[in-house]
Amino acid sequence: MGQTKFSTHPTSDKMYYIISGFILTFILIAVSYPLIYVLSASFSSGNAVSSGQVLLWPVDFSLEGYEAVFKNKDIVRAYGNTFLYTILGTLVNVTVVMTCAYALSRPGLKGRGGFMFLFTFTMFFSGGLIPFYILMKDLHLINTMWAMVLPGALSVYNMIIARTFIQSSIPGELIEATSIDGCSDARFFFSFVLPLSKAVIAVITLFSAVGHWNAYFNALMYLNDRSLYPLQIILREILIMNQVDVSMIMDPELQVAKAQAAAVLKYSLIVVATVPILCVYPFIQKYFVKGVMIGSLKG
Amino acid sequence: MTQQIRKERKALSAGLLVLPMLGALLSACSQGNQQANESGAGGRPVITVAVQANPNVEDYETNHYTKLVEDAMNVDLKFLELPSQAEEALTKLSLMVSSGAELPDVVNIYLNESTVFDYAAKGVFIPQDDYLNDPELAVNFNKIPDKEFVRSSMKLPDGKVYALPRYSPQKWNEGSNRAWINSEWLEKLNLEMPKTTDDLYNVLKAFVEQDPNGNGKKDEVGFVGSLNGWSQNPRIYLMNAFIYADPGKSYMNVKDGRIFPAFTQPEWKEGLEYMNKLVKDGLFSPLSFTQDETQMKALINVPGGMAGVVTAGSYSTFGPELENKMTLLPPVKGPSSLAATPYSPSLPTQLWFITKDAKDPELAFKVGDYMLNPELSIVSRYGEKGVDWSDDPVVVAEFVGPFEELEGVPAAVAELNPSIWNNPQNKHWNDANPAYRSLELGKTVSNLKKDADDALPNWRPAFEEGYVPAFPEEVIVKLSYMPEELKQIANSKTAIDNYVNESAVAFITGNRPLSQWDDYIAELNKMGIEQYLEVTQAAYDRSK
Repeated sequence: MGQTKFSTHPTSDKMYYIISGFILTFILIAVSYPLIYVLSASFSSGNAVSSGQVLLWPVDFSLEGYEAVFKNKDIVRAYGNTFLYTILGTLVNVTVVMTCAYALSRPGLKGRGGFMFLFTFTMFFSGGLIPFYILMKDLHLINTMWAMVLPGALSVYNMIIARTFIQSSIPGELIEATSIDGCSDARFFFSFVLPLSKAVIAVITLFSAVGHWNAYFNALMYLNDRSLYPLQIILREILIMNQVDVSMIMDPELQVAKAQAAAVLKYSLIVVATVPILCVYPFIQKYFVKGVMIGSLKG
Repeated sequence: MTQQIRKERKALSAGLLVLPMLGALLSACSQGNQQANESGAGGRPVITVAVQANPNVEDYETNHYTKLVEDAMNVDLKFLELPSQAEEALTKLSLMVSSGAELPDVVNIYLNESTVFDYAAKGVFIPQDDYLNDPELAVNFNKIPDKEFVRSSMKLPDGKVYALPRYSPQKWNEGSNRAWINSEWLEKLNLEMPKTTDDLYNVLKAFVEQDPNGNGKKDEVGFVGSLNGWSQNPRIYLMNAFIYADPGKSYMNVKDGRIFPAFTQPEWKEGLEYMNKLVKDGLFSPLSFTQDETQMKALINVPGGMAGVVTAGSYSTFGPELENKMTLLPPVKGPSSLAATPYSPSLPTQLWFITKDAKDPELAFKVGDYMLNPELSIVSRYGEKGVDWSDDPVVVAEFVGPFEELEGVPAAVAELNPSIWNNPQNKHWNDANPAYRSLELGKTVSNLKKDADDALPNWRPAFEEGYVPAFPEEVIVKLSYMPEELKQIANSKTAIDNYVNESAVAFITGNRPLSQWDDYIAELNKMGIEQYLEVTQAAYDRSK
C-alpha cells in the first residue's frame, strides 16, 4: 500500500486531473466553437446563413461570400492601408517604448521618479475626446495617415513592462564592466540592451501590432477620406449594413434586401480580416510567455 | 568584430533618425494637399459635402451621379466621409462642431429631428426658407406637385425649413404590416382564404391538426411572427381586426381631431382575448414574442413549409424552400367588421443641410435643388440612364408594368440592372441625396420582362387591392414635439410604451389573466397617461 502511494499519483491528484480535464475541455469547446462557426459560415451559402441553418459545418458549400468580399474595391486598398499603418505604427511604438524604457531603467537618471509619475498619470487620466480632436486638428493630423500612426506612440503600459524587464534581466554590473572598457551609453543600448531584450521586444511588437491592426476608432473620427480607411472600418460598415433600422429609412423593402446580402459577406470578411494577424502569433509565441511573465512579476 | 558592431550601431541609429524625419516630410506633404483643396479642378467653385460612408458606393469623387451634378452646375464637389453608422456619424459631426473645426458647406446625412432642431437653434445650420421662396433658385423644388405638403412636413417646431427633401412615396411601404398564408396548404386541405377572425381561427386549426406538410408529424405552426424583423410583429395584424393599432405612432389613434390611446379601449381587450384563445389552442406560436428574425426564418423556411400564416413586411423573408407558395393575406374582419391595417403616409426625409461655414450658401442650395430634377432623381436610385435604366419606348416595350394588369398603367421606365441596389457600384449615392420620385413614377418602373416565367411574384397589385382599402381615412401623419415637451414626457412615454407591450404579451400568453384588465388601466393612469395624451394632442395640433 505504502509503496504504491509513492509510485502512482494519490487519488486527490487523480481527481484534480479529471476535474481540470473536464473544465479545460469545456473551455476549449466554448472558445473554439465561435471560431469554427465563423469559418463554416464563411464557406456556406447566403441563404443558409441568414436562415440559421449553419450549426457546425458549412451548409451547401459556396464561396459567394469571398467573391463578394473581393469584388468590393475598397477591401484591397484598405488591406494595404492596414498593413502600412500596422508596420509603421509598430515601428514607431517599439522605438519609442524601448528608448524610453532603457532610460528609465538606469538608476542614475535624474528625476526618474518625476518622469515615471508623469507617464503613469497619463495612463489613468486623459483630456477626453473633444480636446483630443482639437489637438489633432491643430497638429494638422486630421485626414492624414499619421492620425493612425502617431497617437499613442508611447504606450505607458508596454513601457513599464519593458523597463521592468531591462531592470531585472540586465545587471548593473554589466554597465560598470562595459564602461571600464570604454563603452558609451548609446553603444550599451544598441549592443547589449536591445539584443538581450529580444523577448520583451517581441511581446511589445505583438501588442502594438495587434492594436494597430484592430484600430478603428481613430480612423472613424479622424479620417474623412475613404482612400485612407483601414480594413476594420470597411469590415464594420459591412457588419452594420446588416442591421435595418426602419425608423430612418424611407424604403425599408430595399433595405431588407440589402441586409440579406450582407449576412453572407460578414463572415467571410471576418476571416479575411483576422487571418493575417493570426499568422504572426506563432512566430512570437515562444518569446511571449517569458516576456509577459517577467513584466508581471515586478511592477 | 568591433567594426561589425559599429556598423550595426550606425545603421540602427540612422534608421531611428530617419523615422521622425520621414514623418515630418510626409505630414508637410499632406498639409500642402489640404491647401490645394480650396480651389477646384478647372477653377470651378468647390462645395464640400459631408456624406455617410457606404460600402456600396465605391467612390463619391468619381461617381457617375457626382459627375452629372458637377457638370450641370459647374461646381466641384469634394467629400468628407462620416462613419456609416448613424450614431458614430453623429458623434463625429458633434466633435467637429464643438471643436470649432471648419464645417463642410453641406451636411448630407440623415439626422433625427431633435438633432436638426438643436443644430438649427445653435445656428450651425441655416434656414433655407428664403431660397425655397425664390422661384429662380428653387427651380426644381417648385416643380414638385405636392410641394406644399412636402414643405410643411419638413418644418421644424420653429416654423422654418432647414433641409431639402428626399421624397418618393410608395404605397407598399406605407402599410407594411402584411401577413402571408401558405396557399399550398389551403389547397391541400380544401380551405377558403380566411375573411374574418373566425375563419382565420378555423383555418389555423386545420393547419395545425391535419399535417398539411405531410411529414407525418403534427409539427405545424399556425400563426407566427418575430420580435424584431421589419413589420414582423404578429400582434399588429391581428389587433387591427379589432381596433386600429399602429405601433409606429405608439398605438395613438385619432378621431375627429382628438387623440386617444388604442390600448385602453374595450376593443383592445377583445383583441387580446382572441389572441389568448389562439395561443391557448396552440394556433399562435408564443415563440413569436421571443425569437428574432433569423430564428423565425430558420423555423419557417423548410421544404414543405412549417408555418401557416407569417407576418412579415417583406416577401424576402421566405426562402427558396417555400417555392413561392406564400400568398398575401388581406386584413381579416373582426367581430365589429373592422379590417384595418396601419397606415404611415410617406414623409420626406430631410437631407442637404447647409451649414454656417458655407462659402456660397446660395450655390450650395442651387446644387441641392438641382438634385430634385426628375431625371437625376431616377439616376439616384436606378443608376446610369441608358445603361442601368431606360425610358426609350423600344426598350420599355419589352417590359410589363407592375400595375398593368390591375390598373392598365404600362411601364414607362425599364430597370435594366436591378442588382445595382445591393452591390458595390459607382453610379449613384444609394439615394442618400435630395430626390423626388412621384407615386405615379413608382408605378411605372418595371423590372418584369414580358415573357419571363421565372420572375419573382409581384405582390404590389395584390397589396393595392387587399391592403390599401383598409387604410383608415383619418391618421396621425406626424407628431412634432417641441424640445421641452419631449423632455416633459420622455420618462412616461418610454414607460408606457414598454408597459403596454409587455402587458399585451403577458395577456396573450396567459401569464397574466385578462381579469386583471382593470389593474392594467389603473397602472397606466398612475404612469401619467393623461399628461402624455395632452402633450401628444398639442403636438398633433401643431403638425396638422
